Amino acid sequence: MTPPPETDATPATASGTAADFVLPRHADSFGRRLRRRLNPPLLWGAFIIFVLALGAYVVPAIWQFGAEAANPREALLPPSARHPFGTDRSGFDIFVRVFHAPRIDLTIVVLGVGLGALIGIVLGVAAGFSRRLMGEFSMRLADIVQAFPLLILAIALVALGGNNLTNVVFVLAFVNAPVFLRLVRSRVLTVREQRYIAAAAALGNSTTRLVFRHVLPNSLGPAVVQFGISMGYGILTLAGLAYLGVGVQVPTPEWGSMILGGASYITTGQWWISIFPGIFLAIAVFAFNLLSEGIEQAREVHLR
Amino acid sequence: MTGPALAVRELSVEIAGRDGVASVLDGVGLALARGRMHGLVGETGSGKSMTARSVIGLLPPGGRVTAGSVQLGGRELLGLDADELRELRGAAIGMVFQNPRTALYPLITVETQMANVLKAHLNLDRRGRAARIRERLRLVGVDDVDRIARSYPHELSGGLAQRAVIATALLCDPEVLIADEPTTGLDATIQRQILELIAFLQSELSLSVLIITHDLGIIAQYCDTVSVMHDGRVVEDGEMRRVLLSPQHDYTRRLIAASDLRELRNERAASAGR
Amino acid sequence: MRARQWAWLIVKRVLFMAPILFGVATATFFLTRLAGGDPAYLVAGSFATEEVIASVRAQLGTDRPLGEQYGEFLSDTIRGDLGTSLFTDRPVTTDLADRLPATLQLVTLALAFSLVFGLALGSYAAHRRGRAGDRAVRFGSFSALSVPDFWLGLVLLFVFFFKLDIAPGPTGQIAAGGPAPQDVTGAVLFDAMITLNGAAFKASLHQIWLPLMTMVLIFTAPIARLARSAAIESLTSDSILFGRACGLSNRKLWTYATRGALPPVVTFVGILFSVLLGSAVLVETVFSWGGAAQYAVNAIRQSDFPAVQGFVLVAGALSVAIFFVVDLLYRVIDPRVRL
Repeated sequence: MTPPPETDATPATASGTAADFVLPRHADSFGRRLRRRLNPPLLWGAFIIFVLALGAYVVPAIWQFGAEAANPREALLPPSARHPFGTDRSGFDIFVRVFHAPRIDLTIVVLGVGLGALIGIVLGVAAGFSRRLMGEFSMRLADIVQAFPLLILAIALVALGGNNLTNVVFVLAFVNAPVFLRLVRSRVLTVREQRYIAAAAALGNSTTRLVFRHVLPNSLGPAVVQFGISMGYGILTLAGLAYLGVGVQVPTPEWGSMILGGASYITTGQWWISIFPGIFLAIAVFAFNLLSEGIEQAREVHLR
Repeated sequence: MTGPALAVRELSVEIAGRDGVASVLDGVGLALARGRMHGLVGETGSGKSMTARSVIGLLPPGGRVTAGSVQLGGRELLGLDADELRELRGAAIGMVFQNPRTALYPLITVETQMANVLKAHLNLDRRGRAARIRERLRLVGVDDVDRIARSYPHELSGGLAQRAVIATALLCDPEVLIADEPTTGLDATIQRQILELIAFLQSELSLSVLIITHDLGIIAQYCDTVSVMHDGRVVEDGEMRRVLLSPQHDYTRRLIAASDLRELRNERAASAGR
Repeated sequence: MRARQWAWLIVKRVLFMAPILFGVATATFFLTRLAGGDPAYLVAGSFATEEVIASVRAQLGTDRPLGEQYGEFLSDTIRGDLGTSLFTDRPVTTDLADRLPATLQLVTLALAFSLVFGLALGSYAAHRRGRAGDRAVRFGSFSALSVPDFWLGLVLLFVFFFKLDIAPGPTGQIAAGGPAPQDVTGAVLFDAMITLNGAAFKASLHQIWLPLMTMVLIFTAPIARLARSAAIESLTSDSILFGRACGLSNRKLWTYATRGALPPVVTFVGILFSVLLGSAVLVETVFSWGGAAQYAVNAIRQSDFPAVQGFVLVAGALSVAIFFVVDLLYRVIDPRVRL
């Protein structure tokens, strides 16, 4: 029998000794622990992302229209059996383009956020370990970068730095790095005070070994959760940039730029051009949010 | 004198948790005589706090009384609706918890929150409330009444905060005071002051006090009667001296053996014999 | 006594703000330079001859050493001179001053409504914890966080303008030919209010509700989530239990819990304001709002370098100023961090 949660008094059982409350947890089979960790949000998030990624290659391969095949004779058609999501002003088939989009969306965001996370984590560990100048300096730098509205900074940097996808990746990295820096630094500051770190140091482990074997693995949890959130937000940022005509350009199939392509038709009733890409965009962001929620829950199981 | 101030009979409580329903109290009974101090002792998780919280109808989420009776001065409390219970709490039964500094609401002054309690029960005007609050604060041994009343909880020391908590619990002159580990989280010297204060208030206001503790020393020093709880049951109860000097139940004996009570008694015997 | 402490605190905070503002200005300068390389190429276009580029350089001042440019940028900025827009040919400061109120009005109203709805939904969910109402709020706010604001704006336009025809099209603050108030600040709704122009007030309310709803629908979500967890923490706190044990009414306990949830929410408002400014860039574009955010988007499209730089700087400074206000507000709400 395990104790119920959220009671200030532990319930009594027939043989309520301390061992009863501790042992079952260790007695959990590996399978049971795994099942507890694989919670519905985690599974659903991963599943949706997998389907989107898979669809990005399968659907264009089997569909009769190409993602960048314009057909002016079939422009602005409403959804039909031939074009399930309709066509836009150039006669692009929206269905295939919506499925094709994750190729560019996910790739750029994974690269951008991944790079940002990498930089943030490295600087965060460094800042957490050398509390003095380096730590202070990188924190103040992060303060200043984060003082700017994220999206405005991203737009300005891409627009001024050159309107190409490499720059979008760098800008995503640039705006995300401070987030990870802050998160990892505060974790490192906590972890490094723990007894086992002192113990490991006392046993003669080198600083490098301490960082890689002990501090880093124990500081990364929140960063992993943040990665999911940043991915979702990164997709929104990328699409927002594209909507303003910055970053991804037509005719590359990308959700934000497809929404832009239909924006002027929304007031004349051709809703499908913008609506379908938006729905897929929202689903993708939702999936990453689910994933990070799931990782968070799995971590709680682990910590409990 | 008619009957006990507070009587609990055959009380059983269950809590529904994630892994099913767990029984936390099983046929608990206790009687608190008028104007006396009754101790409820047991280790963490034995159901002491749960008993107290069943009495005032504040079980944690998922908690449910399945059987038994709780009578306050002869009036049955189980089965009262939420509003009737709310009126009793603070007016007929006062309750004090551990960690006084978190028990007070942090964002408003001591006076404001005491006034809120008064407003909930008594029909006093502003001046009447201010007078009542100051009178109660003085009663619990606060010297600088005006300053303390105007303070925010975080500005008070642990001892002062617990005095303010006790004053709040006693604002509406309850007959029964339930003190759930009232000294946990306080410095040793302050603990003693708070216990002395509760004992003083008990005689001064002829309060009936139910004190919950895991410390047999407190029981030995302040209580008239005692119930020993273990695993959601009362394993032994009765007059304090009888229970502590000639325990009948094995668990009571183990509890006494594990405490420093024996040394205390030996020391006393030694000093008395000298 | 208290007043003097407050005054001293404000002075201290202002002094603290100065280096951050300096940092923001420095960052703006170097980020726009480093990102852009030589803005002259951007401004002059890809097919410009060397002579044209040289003249543009001279005009922008980018032919001089970086240090000298930086010094001049700083001294100009302190004097409130953000350069001249290459497109409108007017001082960027004037351009922004004309358009910023429209943006601020939208952002502030969106923030206010989001706060009210978010706090209400969050504390409602906390009270119904685990039940249907709570689950609905949690799922709703979780989903709303995934919705792109500019797309939602388009969806709302389609539904309320095209289908139902109860909202105006994307025509900005003032409908063509509609009643307009005397121009005081540039924030039309506000101007109509202070000039007591009832007709213009009604008209501008009609213009603003759709963009406002777009932002509120989305930004209520994070506040509701935060308020929910903060209210749950405060509901399960010792002080609420003690309040219950003292027989406080549910209403009183509810105000205790909601107020207890405020400090973290207020802290979040500072962050949210900056996010809303970013969101305004997109929403203004969708609704042709004509505020500073849309001005910045046009400036970017036209490679109007000084205008972009000016807007970034102002947005950064505004965020810093909001953090300053939030910091003071926090101290008013929570006595534990006071003075």
